[in-house]
Amino acid sequence: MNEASPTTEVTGPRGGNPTRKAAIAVGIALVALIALLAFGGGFGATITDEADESPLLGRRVPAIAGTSLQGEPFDIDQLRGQWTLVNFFAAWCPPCIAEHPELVELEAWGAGNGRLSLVSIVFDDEPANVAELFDELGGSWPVLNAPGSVVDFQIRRVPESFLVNPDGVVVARAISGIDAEVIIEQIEGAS
Amino acid sequence: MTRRSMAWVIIVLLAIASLGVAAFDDGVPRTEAERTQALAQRFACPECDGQSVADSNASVAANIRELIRSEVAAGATDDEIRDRLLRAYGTDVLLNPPATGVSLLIWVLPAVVVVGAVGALVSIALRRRTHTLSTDDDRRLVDAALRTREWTER
Amino acid sequence: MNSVLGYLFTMVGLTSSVVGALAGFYALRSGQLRLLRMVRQWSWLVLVAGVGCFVVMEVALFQRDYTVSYVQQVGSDSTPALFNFAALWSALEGSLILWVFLLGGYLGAVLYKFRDRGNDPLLGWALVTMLGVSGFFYALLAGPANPFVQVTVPLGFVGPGPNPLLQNHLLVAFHPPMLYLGYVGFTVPFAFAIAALATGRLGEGWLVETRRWTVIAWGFLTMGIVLGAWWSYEVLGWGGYWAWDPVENASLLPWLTGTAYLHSVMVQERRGMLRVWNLSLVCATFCLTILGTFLTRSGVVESVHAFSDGAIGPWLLVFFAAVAGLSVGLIGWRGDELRSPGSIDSIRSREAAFFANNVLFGALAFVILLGTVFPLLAEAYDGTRLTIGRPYFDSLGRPIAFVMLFLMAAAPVLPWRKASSELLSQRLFWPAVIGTGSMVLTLLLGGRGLWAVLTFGLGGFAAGAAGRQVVLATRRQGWRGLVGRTNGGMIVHLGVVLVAVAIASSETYKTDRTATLLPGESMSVGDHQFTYLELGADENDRRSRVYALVEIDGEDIYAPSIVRFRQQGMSLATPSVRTGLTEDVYLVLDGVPDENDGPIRLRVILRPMVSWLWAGGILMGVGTLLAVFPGKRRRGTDAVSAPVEAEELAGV
Repeated sequence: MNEASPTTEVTGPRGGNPTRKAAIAVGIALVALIALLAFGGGFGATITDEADESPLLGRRVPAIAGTSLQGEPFDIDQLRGQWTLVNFFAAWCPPCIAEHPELVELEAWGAGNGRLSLVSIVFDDEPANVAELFDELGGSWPVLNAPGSVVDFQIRRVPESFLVNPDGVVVARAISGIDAEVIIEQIEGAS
Repeated sequence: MTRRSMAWVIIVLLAIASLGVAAFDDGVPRTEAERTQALAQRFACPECDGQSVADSNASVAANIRELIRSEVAAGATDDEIRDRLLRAYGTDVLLNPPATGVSLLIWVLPAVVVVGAVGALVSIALRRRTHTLSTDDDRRLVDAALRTREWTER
Repeated sequence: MNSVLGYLFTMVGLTSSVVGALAGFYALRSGQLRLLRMVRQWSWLVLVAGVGCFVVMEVALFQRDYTVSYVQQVGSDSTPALFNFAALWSALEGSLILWVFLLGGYLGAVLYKFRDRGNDPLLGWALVTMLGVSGFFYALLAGPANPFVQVTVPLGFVGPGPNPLLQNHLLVAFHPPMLYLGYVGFTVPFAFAIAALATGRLGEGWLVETRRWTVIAWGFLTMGIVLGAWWSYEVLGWGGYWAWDPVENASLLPWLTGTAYLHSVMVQERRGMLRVWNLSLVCATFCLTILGTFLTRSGVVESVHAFSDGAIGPWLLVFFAAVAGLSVGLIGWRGDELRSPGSIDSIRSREAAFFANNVLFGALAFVILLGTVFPLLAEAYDGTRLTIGRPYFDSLGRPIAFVMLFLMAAAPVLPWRKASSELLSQRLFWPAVIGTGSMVLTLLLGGRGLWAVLTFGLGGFAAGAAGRQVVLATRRQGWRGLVGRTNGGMIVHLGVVLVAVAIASSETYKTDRTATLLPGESMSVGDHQFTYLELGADENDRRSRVYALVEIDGEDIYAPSIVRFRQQGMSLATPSVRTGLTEDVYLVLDGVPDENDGPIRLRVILRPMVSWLWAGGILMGVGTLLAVFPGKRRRGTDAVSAPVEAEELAGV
């Protein structure tokens, strides 16, 4: 089946073949590239769970300060010494409405033992709609309109929540809804 | 001088003159707004995966634009503004990697590759020029290379 | 039901790919060529499986069958039909279905085209290669990225729907399939290159046989990239169409090597040179489609398109390593037989221009690959975090692009082997007049800036050369002067010039202003007056929308909006664009007020000649079509040693 091979050893010994030399060089470069891709980008620790992806985890919580929609001043640095749940939401998003009762439950739990406080940050919504949501479903924790925080926390979609420990370090992230039980377990497990 | 070569001279002169005029009006941004815009294009929005501060709609980008604008208004040099942003956001705020340390490689490697490739081509062209299509083996190779149909239904 | 059926088709695809490849391999190694007929039957089965997977998934999407895991992931009760159809390729698993579907299609096309060559070893090896590739993708579908997993449906589940960015514009129905048709299409020339290496039939045969396939794949890839840029411009709201994002770079890499190949292949056909290089380019193009898929699907590089489906990353990397290793190994093995004894006689010859063209395309591909993966290298080396963006790619890409434009003007008028000064002076005269004329015209119209003016000059020069060729060919041959590879290629060149001019002017003469406006207030940007009239809103189950009515120059009313996709909890600033022949007006709603009569933040971007970019893309597509249909005579397999001669001579 090798009809077309015009094999004649004009080029002398095999090692002297420029094509082969080039192929070896390219092969070495390829191995380097593949090794880089395999081990370079922290690829060994491939991300499988989207929630573990945030670069905020393990870092100090970005500043959140301003006046809440209820008219009170708020500063997250005042909350050191207790756990804080930072929640991003919008009244137009059904999953946000669905998780609201869980937040109400957490507020009650935190108010009872003084270990957890909540703050919600509005994601692209009007204050009137937000007030309506809280009127309907309860809850009285501070709500801020803080576009800067939306960026600081790299929020692309809601609902999304971050759990901050008493030292002000972000320890957990929850996307598309939270479960009050899980949060409570986490706080109790850590202390 | 033929008419065509006269025309060529005119074309070339016109082309050079046009480029001269174009370049003369180009380059250094003059107004503060232009300088701000030019600077904003050099920095990455820290949270938008490679979009520049000038392009991004994110509010962090808006903040940095505002910072650049006020620094420019206060008369800071480009390098001062660059250093300030570097301190605040780290090296990944630069869209153009610095030519120091490892990052130097990203500038050196393309140059090496281009120079190497051109050099190899030129050397091949020059070497081959001396003995074109000499051996019978070479002729056979060309014939094989140009042969299309090497297989027929058996 | 759909779940079971889909999985069944996946297994049929996997089994027939693997069995077919193994049977073919055995037949070819043992020389029992009669057995190759069997490979054809297995291959047809792979096509059936691909169509089956595609149809089952579409049916499941339309039936809202949430027991299928992929439908649960991207389906929704409220997605309109068009976007529901396109939801198939809105996430990783589904795009793999599209991949095997298209690969099955190409496989079927190859089988049909070469139906009378059942026991040709060259075809046999090509089929084995294609089956191997399809086996890999079916393995992904069967294992780590199975879209047909049967899942339970939570009570009251209505589905999240596809990513909002992928249900916001008509173009999502066209851009991904086009791009994939390009990516997957390069499997065919790759398979024939591997077959040529395996059989040792390294003559021109495989080139001639895959020439048209390569052109078709290239055309699809081109259209895919241009449509992607268009989509990005119309949907993402940052006013640009190309961000040097890793995903975009990944699509450009195979395009560059593929373009280089389309040119260098002519040198081999005419002069018997560049044989190793051509094989390498074909293999590199295919490898780069796999590498690109890996880069964008594994989450190793950050990207706005980040899919971070980590599970298949290692698989793709292993496959890339295997494919690249096989290519390099085979080329090295056949090295002896691939010598090309021809040589360049003169620097003023077409082959010299193609040589230079290839060096430039290679260099550009290298720069883009380096820029894309370099942040990984820096981080691995000493933890430095780098961003490599537009300024880097611009500063290295621009000079390369200028030389390419110059070559685009020179190459079509250069004859093979050697050109005299007299000939060049005669043939380049009118192109040079057009080039210089466009620079002078730009200056007279008030355009400035060295780079832009130089682009217009070189663009005019290249357009002149391409136009000259087309005019001469049509004058001689009538409408046939527009078809065939050379003439179609010239039309493609004209498209490239339009794209270059569009990029230069829309980047250089861009105006970008943001202002805060109360209802009734106006701002002026450039020659235009923008008046904010009032805020409006509408909503349905799927999304709610706030839009600002903005009047441009007291005549047209446009409505940039913020669209909130409820189920996904995402809000997108959707631009409103007035497209014009000479200028686009791009409006983005940057922020909405708390009350209806409060101030909005409106961003206005004026970009001249953006529409030329789309026109250029379409022209490139049209040119590709013309290049594919032969002017007259000849099936691709006919023995011709100088296949383009007729068209070539027409241009003399």
